[in-house]
Amino acid sequence: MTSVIRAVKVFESLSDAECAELVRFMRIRQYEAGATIFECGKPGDSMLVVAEGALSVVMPGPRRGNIEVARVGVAEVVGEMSCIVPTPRCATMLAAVRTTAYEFGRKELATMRLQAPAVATAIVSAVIRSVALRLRRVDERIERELAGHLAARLPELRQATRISARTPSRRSRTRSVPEPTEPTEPDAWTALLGRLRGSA
Amino acid sequence: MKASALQELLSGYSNAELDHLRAAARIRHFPAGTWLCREGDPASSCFFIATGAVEMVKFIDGEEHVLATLRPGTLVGQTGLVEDSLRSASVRAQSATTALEIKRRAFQRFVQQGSPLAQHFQEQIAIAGIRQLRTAADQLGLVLAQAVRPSGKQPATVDRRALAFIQAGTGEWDLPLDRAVGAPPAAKKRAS
Repeated sequence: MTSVIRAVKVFESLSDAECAELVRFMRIRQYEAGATIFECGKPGDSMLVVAEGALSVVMPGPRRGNIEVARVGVAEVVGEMSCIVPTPRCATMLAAVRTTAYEFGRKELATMRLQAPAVATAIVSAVIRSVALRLRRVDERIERELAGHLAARLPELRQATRISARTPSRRSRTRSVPEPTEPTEPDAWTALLGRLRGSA
Repeated sequence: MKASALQELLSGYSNAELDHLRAAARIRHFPAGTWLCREGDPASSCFFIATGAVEMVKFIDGEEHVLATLRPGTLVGQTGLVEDSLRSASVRAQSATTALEIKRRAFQRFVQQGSPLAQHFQEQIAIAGIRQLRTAADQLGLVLAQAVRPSGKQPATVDRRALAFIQAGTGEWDLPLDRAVGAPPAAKKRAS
């Protein structure tokens, strides 16, 4: 099991010992070909790592039935964000063939926080890095779209995306902008901690 | 100093944990109109908004766009805690604002302690990132919806499916975004 986890890109920052510890908290799941694993819209609070076989991401077809839009293979992970923020599954996932997967959910993460806090922290860090990477990709894509042929349609887009726009002249140029104050953390911290400790 | 959001976040934690956080974070005050960070600057910290309000601002073709107004209790710029990157937007105090600024290295040391407060903070940062990713995926879906449909018309069935693909792919699964131009290839085959 550990060798599969070791090969998962999301977990590449984990040490061998941390991977081994993660495995200890995972449950082995086996699915027959065609079995439904996640259903679109149903609540989800766990991730799956494919150990053998493959998963199929499907969406409703134009008339009837499903269309496969992606495959998830060995050492690939799905749903890792759901361990931290439970959310309805946003597409349906089936076992493309007979498949074995390792499952790790919110409940296991909570147990791990108590029993192996350093590993739990490393796993959440890995998910944060994965989220940051995806966010950058989405941002870059939005940038490309906005900078390209959509630039001419910005007023229409603004309405659709409820982005408010204004020119700098309406604000920045007509107002003298003060500089940020120097950090005053000793006083601010003392006041804050005084309040917190006073109310404890 | 008003620090209700901070007080709420930090109440219930031990004195030792609060001292650790104090070592990792600075409390900063920003008068209205001043910048917490600017687009294009190296990102190495995040801000927890304690009081006041901030605006997330982007300049496109020289025109200023306010993307969002963020209230106390919000984390801003959390990507700066994770990796070397540049600020993707500017953040300006809309009104007088107090923020807890956490630098990356200090945060990493804080999290490595694995204390309940550090874990809680880390979870909040993860949640903020995930929400931001989902919002960005929705925004991208809207942008592409405008790109693929004639003005004033609903997207065609195949386009709606492509948008669902984008939102599912970025919202939960790391599906390759480049496949999400118009309709996914598999959908095109079946639709024709």
